[in-house]
Amino acid sequence: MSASSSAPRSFVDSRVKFVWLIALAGVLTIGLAACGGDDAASPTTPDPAPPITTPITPTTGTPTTLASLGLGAVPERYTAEVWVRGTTAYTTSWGTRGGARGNALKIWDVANPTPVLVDSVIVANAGTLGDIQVSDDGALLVVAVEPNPNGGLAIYALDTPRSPRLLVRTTGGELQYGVHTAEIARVNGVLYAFCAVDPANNVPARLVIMDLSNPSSPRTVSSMQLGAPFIHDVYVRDGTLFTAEWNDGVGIWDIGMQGGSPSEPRKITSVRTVGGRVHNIWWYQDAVTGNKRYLFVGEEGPGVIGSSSVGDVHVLDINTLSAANEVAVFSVAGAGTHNFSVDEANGLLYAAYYNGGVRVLDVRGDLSVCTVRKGDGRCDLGASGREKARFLGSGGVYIWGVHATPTGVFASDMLNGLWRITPAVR
Amino acid sequence: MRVVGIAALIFCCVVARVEGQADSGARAALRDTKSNLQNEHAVRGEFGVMVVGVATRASPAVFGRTLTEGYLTQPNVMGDVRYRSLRLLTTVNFEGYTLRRGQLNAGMYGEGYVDRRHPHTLVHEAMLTAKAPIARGVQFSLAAGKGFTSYGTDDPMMRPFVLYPVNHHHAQIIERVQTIGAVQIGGLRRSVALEHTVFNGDEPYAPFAGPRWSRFGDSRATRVTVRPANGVEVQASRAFVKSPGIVQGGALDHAQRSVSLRMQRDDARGLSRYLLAEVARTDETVDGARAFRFESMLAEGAVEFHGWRVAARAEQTERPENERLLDPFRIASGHIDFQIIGVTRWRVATVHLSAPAASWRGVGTLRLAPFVEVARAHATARRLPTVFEPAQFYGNAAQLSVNVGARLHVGTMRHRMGRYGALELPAASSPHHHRLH
Repeated sequence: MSASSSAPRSFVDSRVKFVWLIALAGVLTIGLAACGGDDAASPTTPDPAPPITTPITPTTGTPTTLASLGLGAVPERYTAEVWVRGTTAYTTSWGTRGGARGNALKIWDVANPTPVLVDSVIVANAGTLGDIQVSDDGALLVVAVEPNPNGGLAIYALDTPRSPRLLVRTTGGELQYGVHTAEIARVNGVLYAFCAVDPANNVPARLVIMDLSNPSSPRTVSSMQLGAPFIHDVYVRDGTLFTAEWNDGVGIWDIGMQGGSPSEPRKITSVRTVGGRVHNIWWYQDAVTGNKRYLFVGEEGPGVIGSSSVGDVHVLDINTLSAANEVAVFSVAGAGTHNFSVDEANGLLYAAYYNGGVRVLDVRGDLSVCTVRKGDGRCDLGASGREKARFLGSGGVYIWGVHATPTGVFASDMLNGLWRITPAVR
Repeated sequence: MRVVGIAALIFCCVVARVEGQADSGARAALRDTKSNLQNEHAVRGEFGVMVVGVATRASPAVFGRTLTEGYLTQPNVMGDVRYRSLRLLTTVNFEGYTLRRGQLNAGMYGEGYVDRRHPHTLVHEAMLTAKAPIARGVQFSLAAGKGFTSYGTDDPMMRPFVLYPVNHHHAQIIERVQTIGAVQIGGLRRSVALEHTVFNGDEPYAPFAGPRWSRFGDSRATRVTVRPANGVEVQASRAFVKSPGIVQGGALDHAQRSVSLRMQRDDARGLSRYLLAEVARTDETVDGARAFRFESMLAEGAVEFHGWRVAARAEQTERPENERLLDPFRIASGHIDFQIIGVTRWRVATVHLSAPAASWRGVGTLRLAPFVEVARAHATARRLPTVFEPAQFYGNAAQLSVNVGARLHVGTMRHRMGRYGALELPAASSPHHHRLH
């Protein structure tokens, strides 16, 4: 050492030695910690029992607890979306569980209370599957395939509903970055797929609309850069396209209502919701009252999939598009919402709520009139007693999607599989 | 912020000119010898080449599989050119050619890679610095270019180990276009220094991808460094990094903190000792609110005697888990939908042993030092339940990595990397530059 200061050499040396000793003790301490065993909360082997999820604080009121009618267990993969048509249900899978990739499409017989697995179809070159949907005529099954660089669509013919026949698995093109969600809808008699494509570095998120007139050869009719930074679900009804554009809010487009089309969507307006992070949308049309003024918007905040989630259900009044505004909100402490399904005949919204299970809201009537409001004036639907029922499962759940159908109500649980639950009643 | 960058470059040039004039005048008056003047005004440069050849066996690497691979890692050409008070430091990194699949490195993550260390960008560093004394014992400097921000600790490439620590992205912010202002009070042995950097938040996403210039200035870092005694250095730094995960913006921001103690002593008997202890933390935030927090502690030390070196490192670092792509060693940059699938706590113990280098003298000094490095990593989920269970995913919670190879140096190696201007370290030609880098 070549100390050069005016301080006495012995003083500098002793000080340096002291710091060395402290540091050495630190090294040994951390080293011993690194070589030590596990802490109590982190077992070395996975617990085969279903995990316990974050506890939920009940909202006020007395929502009914919905019972499970049966569980179609999926222990080897994480389950994603569900779609039910008649007595057949389809679920997708997601991520990696153990060594199993989320590349399986599962087909269920749901004629009886407990879903029975009929078949499992592997989608080629897929790491994760997202949305799944059957066309309105029951002829096609469309599956979103993620992630980059093998993203795309898998389209099946349902000549035999429980034996889907692959028509095409798209590769390359704009979808290659990963189709995060894919909704199919008919506009002026033509079936289209609306594909939300993940962003990548230097590749912004994008909505790609494909004409499925020839489902073996889907044709892109329009492609728009949308979303900040993500484009998520879309909702199509009566020639109107609603786009969930994350921090850019809700986009409302004419694609067949007044001159617009899927190949040339015309932007009508954008509406921001409190907190942004717009994830999914449902334009509610009450079958009894004819009310069409409410748009339900799901918010997805930062979360750890499988254990925690954040995000509210926002209600937009779009009766006057130029003055659309948020009038109500529903929150669950400790959990966040995901996909919706609305029983429009009964005015009940089923919201998948990840670790919060399934929450059922009474959405009939004027949602801007309530007994309890948030500080900003929005109605608090939970505190106002609009939550009618809930499904919490058993042993911990993480509900991705829910589908309320004439056959019954089904919920896809990432951790456990496919639940059939009792429908809520008004 | 672009104006700041341009101003920094202009400052560098002006300082060089003023310094040169003052310097030349004073020296001419004192010595008035033409040869000395020519020497002072000459461009001086030092260059070095380094590369590490290594065979790695990782068990298990993924899905219960053991992988054995070989690499040419850390291939760098380093330049250090000085003219008057200007200094240009460059490091060209060729990992984009030699390491595209990434190097097996349990726990390591970042830039789209996971459990493999990502290749660095071709222009790893190109920083022009100028410094000027503004009072007795006080130096001021500006630096501009691409390189290491004034955050955290030294680049792992300049430390005794071949494997990277898991905390690389918690403890360093590198390869950014930046401007650094620094002021230092004191000298090389005892000093206090303050640095502030403005830079682009987007982290590199490919070895040949350039930075997004329009984002220059959206992120910042500040570091205070205290050198209380010769060879002892304490730093505390913080940084705000805007959307590092998605180049075009919109991903979660990072608020980072780092504190470290570094000590190094070389003596005339050929004994060198080195120690680094650091604590780092990264908060991922959205609209200023914290979404996730990841913490890290690391300590490493080395002793070298007549070319024989023993080094050890212990680390505990948390990292976010993301959905894997079809290649299980790749993830999408940024968190899609702001979601992660878990947090894993990595505990890694590493031991490195290297033998004295064989040397050849030719155009430059060529040194070839064989080494063996063994790391044991243990991964657990920080919180249950989780959909990313390390023991399930890897096939075992514990992983062993054995690495055997040789480190090649030609020419002048840099002692450390990532300090510019007022804080720059002794010239690379230090007699001990080859030790414990």
